[in-house]
Amino acid sequence: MKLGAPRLTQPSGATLVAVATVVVAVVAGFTLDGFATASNFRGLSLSLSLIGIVAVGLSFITICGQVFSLSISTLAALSTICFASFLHLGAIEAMLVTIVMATCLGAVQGFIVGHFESDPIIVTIAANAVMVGAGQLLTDGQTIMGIGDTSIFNATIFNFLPVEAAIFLVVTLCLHVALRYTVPGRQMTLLGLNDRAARISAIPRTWLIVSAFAICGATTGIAGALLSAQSSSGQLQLGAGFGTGAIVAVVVGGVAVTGGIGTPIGAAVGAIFVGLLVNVASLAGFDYSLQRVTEGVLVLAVVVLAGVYSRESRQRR
Amino acid sequence: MTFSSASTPALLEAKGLSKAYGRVTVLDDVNVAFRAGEIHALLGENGAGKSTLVKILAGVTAPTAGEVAGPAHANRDVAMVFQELSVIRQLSVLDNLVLADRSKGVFVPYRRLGRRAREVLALAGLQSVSLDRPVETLSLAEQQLLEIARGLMRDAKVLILDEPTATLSDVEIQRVHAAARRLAETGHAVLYITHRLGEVFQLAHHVTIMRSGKLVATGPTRMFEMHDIISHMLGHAAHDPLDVAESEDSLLEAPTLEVSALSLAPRFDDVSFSGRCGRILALFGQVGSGADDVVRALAGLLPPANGNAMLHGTRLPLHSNAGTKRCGVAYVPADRATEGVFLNASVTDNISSSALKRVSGWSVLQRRKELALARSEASKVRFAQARIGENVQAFSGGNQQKVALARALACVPKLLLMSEPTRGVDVGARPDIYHSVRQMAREGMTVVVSTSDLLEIRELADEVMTMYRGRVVGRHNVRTTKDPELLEEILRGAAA
Amino acid sequence: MTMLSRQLQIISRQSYWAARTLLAWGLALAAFVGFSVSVPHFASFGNMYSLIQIFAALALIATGLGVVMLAGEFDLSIVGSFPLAGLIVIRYADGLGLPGSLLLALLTGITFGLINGWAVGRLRIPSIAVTVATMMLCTGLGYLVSDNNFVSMTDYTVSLQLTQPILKIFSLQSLIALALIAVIIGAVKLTRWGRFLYATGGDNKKARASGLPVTGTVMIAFAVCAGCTALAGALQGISLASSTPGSDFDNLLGAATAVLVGGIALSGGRGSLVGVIGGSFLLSVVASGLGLGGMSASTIELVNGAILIGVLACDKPLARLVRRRAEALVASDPTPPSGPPSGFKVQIESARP
Repeated sequence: MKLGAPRLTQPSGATLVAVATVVVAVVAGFTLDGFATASNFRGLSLSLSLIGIVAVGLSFITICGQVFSLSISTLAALSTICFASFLHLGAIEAMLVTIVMATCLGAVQGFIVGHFESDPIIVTIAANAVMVGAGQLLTDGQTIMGIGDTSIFNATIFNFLPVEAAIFLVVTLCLHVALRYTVPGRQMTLLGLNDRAARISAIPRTWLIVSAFAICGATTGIAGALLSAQSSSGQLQLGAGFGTGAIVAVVVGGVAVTGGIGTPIGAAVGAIFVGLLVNVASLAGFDYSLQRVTEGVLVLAVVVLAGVYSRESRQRR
Repeated sequence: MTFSSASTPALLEAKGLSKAYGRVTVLDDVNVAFRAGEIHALLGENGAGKSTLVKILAGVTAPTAGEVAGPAHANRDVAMVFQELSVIRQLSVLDNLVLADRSKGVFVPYRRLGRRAREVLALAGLQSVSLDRPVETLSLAEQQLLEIARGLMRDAKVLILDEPTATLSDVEIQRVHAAARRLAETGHAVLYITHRLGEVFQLAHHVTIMRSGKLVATGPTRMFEMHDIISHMLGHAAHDPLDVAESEDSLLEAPTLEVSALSLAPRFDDVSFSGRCGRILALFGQVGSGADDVVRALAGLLPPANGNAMLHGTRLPLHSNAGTKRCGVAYVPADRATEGVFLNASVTDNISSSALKRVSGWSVLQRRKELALARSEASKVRFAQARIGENVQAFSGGNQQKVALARALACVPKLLLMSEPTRGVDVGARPDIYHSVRQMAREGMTVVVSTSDLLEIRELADEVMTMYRGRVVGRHNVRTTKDPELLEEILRGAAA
Repeated sequence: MTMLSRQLQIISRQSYWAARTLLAWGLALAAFVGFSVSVPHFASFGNMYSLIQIFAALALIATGLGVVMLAGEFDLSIVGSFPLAGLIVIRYADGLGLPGSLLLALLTGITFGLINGWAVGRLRIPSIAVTVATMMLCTGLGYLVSDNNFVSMTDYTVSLQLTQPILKIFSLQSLIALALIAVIIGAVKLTRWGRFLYATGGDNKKARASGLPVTGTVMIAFAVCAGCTALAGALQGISLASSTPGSDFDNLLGAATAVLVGGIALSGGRGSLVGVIGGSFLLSVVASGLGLGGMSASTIELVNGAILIGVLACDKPLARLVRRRAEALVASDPTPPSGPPSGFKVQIESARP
């Protein structure tokens, strides 16, 4: 309680972005036709939920000090294939199988990063290539059609909230609690803040990095499975935008690339903000390419501003 | 050698130099001259103002009053060779010398610089080293000599050597000495900062002694005796042992910590000692004496090759720091910013970070317990309760050190290890830290600190063990031992 | 005996990274010979031509990335800037003429390189963060330039000229790339900037503290990398006369693998670009040989990824082993031999080309 006060006075990226999100939403609601409608809301929440789920998982890797995973898109694609292949077992079962598969693939990457102390970027680039190759060999480049009923994941709760969005909210809350209020979560934050001090405090470094990658794998698996459930199919091209989308969300959501600062809710807010911007842009008539450029400029601006800010605070001392 | 007379014109001269940071005067009206062909030893305790003086002489910082004069200053011919090596380990010897060359041009004139490099290497005593050897394959002494060669590469006339032999062994020291003599013979002025009094008499033509920012004595070496120098360095007040480290001798029991025959070449060799609960043991030695390495070894961060340590009858697993931590060992490193604290986190998070088990149930953190822990540990180190939610980054060195200490205390250690407990800590915070460590000892903790600060031993320790080049020299009760005795032991290795 | 073994140790230590260079070339040549023997038509002129086409493009990007990695940084923006250069060249070839559009593509690439270098060197932002941002920006610009669509050139003559075989196995495209690579290797070996580059990568803090122009060095390194990538992308665009927008992770994967196989340490400051060329050659030989042997592109990619993971897993333990041995060596060797035997000296000096 006393603790909350000084924390809020720090310029928290997530708070700023949350405010910006609300402002953009209100302005758009008054000025743009077709924004404040039920169908647009449904479309918006559908489009940002999946990337949001991935971003929340990715934030664990970033907070842990391991920068990013660049194999997310491919892992999501493999997840769609896995889900479609196991759909005959039933939708829930296929989802569980997919999550287990994706978690294991994430954990393996985490093990290589943690145990061999390798560079996470290069490991995930390599893992990406291996997974693309394996996926291509498995599917022969074809689309896998799943046989089974996926309506449970395409339903709308109370005629208002799509199941994807509900899962996004639940995953975000669970992982937020896991990071902020459990011992391993706190240890991950400490590891990201100062690797050497964490080693001296005898924190189980490898295990934490494996967990972070496993969590990111699991959320990617969930997102991939949900994406596959939309069309009951799986193929390597699905989920191509997940990787960069999640990175944008994490960076915009105030998670420091150097690690230790930020929360999963921040990443979720980042995903909502970016999704909202893209939605507004497309309603306002911007095409896809301009949206991509906007994303790039946004991330560059955030990164450079954060750099300038930390440079100034470094010089003040 | 009689040529160091005042008739030779000075290459570099300090005229009434003063330097103040705010209201603190670190240098007060210093006048001294350095002549060609002369090795000039600069002596003084930690904090005497030596490093400020040489920084001003080298043109790194500006004086508050006074000026630096002399032809070497006018031509910017002063090179400084720091104790902390600035050679880049991955590069070859030649490349390191090339980087020191300040001439312009897109291409590196390898042929010319190669010739020049051989010359300066010969002058520095490295003629046998191939130009293409990576620096990391050189021994520490050779790297130190290369550092000198880097200074020569740009034709410096005055070389400032800052404790070049602090971390070297006997044989290696001879090589540095030979290089320094050669430099003097070829017409350079060598300013030699050292803590080793023995080498002053072997090497220097001229001695200057500083104490708390003032120049207290200067003159040709033959005018001084060893005990003169020590008394000049310490001043007169420090002769009486201060009686601040009170602790009840009634607490003396069987040793709780038994270290036997700990060795790790080349850092320390055959170190054995015992620690008792309620007593604070200080390992006292210069940088490179191994005192700090012994403490890190006990913390499980520097696994020794031989020997073992028993704490309360259980053998410490010195090969892993997780293991020693489980056995009740806590360590406060000297380097706060990179190892001691998590800069970008609040005090509460820092304090609880090493004792997360204590503030959680079923792996779930309990904020109330965490806050309570932070409050109680903060009060133990006399840290202001109101600032407990603030970010550690903004704090002074003293407050950061309090947080680091509180972090260590939070895991309820049986053995508290500290490296340089108050290095870089403001004077105001020192008594708080000393007091809380003494309090911990009184409550039954065994405390071992490593330090290179004599004053700290007076304020903090009950017993002191002196170390010299990796070996234990002597062990004393702080209250019954005089300063010169301790200084002799760490500076010369032999008991006085 | 001990003297001899000690000197053997010193030699192996001093040339560990040189040995990595040799290893890359040795493996590449072994693979080359192996495929020549086992795969029919591998050693034919036609296949040599296509092998060198692949090799030149890969080596060009790898050289650029190698320069950045020598400085201890990494450049992800290759993923976006490689396709962007091709798109710009093709899209504006009709309007500006080919030289104009080529210049535009190179300038765009180098501008992004300078932005990367400025943010990394001056603001000290981690290079991954900056280059992820420029990667996205470049990819987005690619979509913008191409109007989100496949683009192609109407005039094929230049494409044909560029890929016309010269001396049966080279082409103008590969010769341009190889010439630029030679210039960069020369610059790194001979100029002051090259020394600064190694110093910056070796120890950034010490380099800054001893007054070296670290920011400028890093900016030039990123500009060189971006220039190489842009040229490679532009040449590929012209030679294919068409291009599609998107991200291109394959080239980055290939380049990073080549650099690491070639023995440039991830931490920076060690290794040589000659090894990188060897690494690129190894990868192109493997790709070409496996492709000719009937393996699919995806299998080759899988093999590439597996090689990279293998290198990463071996790198740290190997380096640790070497470091331990070096420390033991220095510890056991307080008085080095008064003068090295002549054979020893010659051997060391011959290691420097």
